[in-house]
Amino acid sequence: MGLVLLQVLFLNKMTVAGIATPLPYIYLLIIFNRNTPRWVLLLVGFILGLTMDSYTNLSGIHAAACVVLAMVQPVYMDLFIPRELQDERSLAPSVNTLRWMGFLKYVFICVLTHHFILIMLVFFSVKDVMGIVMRVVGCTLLTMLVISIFAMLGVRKRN
Amino acid sequence: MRRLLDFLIKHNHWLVFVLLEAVCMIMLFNSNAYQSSVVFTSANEVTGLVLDAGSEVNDYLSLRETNKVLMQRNTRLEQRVAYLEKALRQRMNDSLAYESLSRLADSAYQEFPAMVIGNTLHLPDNYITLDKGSRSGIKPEMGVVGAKGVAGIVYKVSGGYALVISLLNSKSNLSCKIAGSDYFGYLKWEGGNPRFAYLKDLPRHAEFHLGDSVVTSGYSTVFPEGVMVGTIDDMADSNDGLSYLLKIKLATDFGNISNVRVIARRGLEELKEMTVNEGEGQ
Repeated sequence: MGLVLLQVLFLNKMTVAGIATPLPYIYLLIIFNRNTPRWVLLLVGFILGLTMDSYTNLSGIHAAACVVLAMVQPVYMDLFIPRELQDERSLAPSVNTLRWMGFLKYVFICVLTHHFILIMLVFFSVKDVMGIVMRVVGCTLLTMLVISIFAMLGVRKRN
Repeated sequence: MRRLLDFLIKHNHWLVFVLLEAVCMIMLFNSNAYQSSVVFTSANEVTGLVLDAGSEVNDYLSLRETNKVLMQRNTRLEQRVAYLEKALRQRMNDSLAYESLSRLADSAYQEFPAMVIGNTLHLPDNYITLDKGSRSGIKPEMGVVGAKGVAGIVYKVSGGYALVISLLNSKSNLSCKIAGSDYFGYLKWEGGNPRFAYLKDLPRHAEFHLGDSVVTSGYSTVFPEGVMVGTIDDMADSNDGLSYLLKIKLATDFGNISNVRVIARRGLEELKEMTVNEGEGQ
């Protein structure tokens, strides 16, 4: 809830060079526990996306990207779970469970998937391929940066 | 049948996935419908409330800048008042002209002040959210003017909030002319830099200089004639070579817009009713 407020009130207004905006609100979806029923995760993604859409007037675009992320999140998570935790039923992705390297890789692939779909839907045109690539790269880097800060704060709190 | 049901239950997330994506796509491709609801826009009551709260903090932080702009505007208006008073005094002896001039000020257009609570700059279709809605008398298709010039046109309203199509929107299409002449064209934003837009379809024989002001033409009922839009920054020929394509530096700085006025033409309803009736009569 606080994360969504932070996103809509401050981060949405932040732009670097007019192309890149950090969108760390998807952190909510990224850290869902693997024991969550998949339809619940999809529904949460949809509602989260609709909320973002209503603040940016992008009718359905955030929702579409978030639902895709909610669909692939469990698949991505399986890729980065260390072998000794493979059989664990209840497991939430975090620095503690996936280690720093695993967690960052996992977050990167999630963020890239979401941002790619989002930006393709927003700027759908064949003319400006370079612009779209720049935006995807810029936004992904910024979101990664903000999420890494969240993760670091999370680790410090636990210690 | 049993196996089909089992299959569906086991893979229910695929079903949910397809369903939700279908809903998203319907929303995305139906969003252009003019009558579509205000619910999933930033002008709905809940979203508006949150943006309102956020903008109060922001407004407080940008008071100094806002103050400066208001001071400049005030000075400009004072100069103009002095100039107009002088002109008025010269015409005093012609009482008829005096009467009509003094009534001109509040004749055709009505204004509502409003605050910007939500605004985007870098999407292909940008919108502005205002803190006043239908309860304050704001209706779709009213014009929105910032401190320095035209900002956009009201698109949808809820009870307490309004969604405005900013000039920085591919749907925006504003009829403009070069100040002091009658050559007109229409203003389009082509994405990219939020400070510049393009004036298209200006006839080739039009005379102008770089730096000239571009104002609303008054050909639509949305804006009165002569509201500032921007200044000519650069010129080029259009692709077909039949008209000019002018690069316009927009007067409104969309990155820093907080106080706006919504302007409504008085008697617009009657005018619309009349055109409809005429259409039926034929």
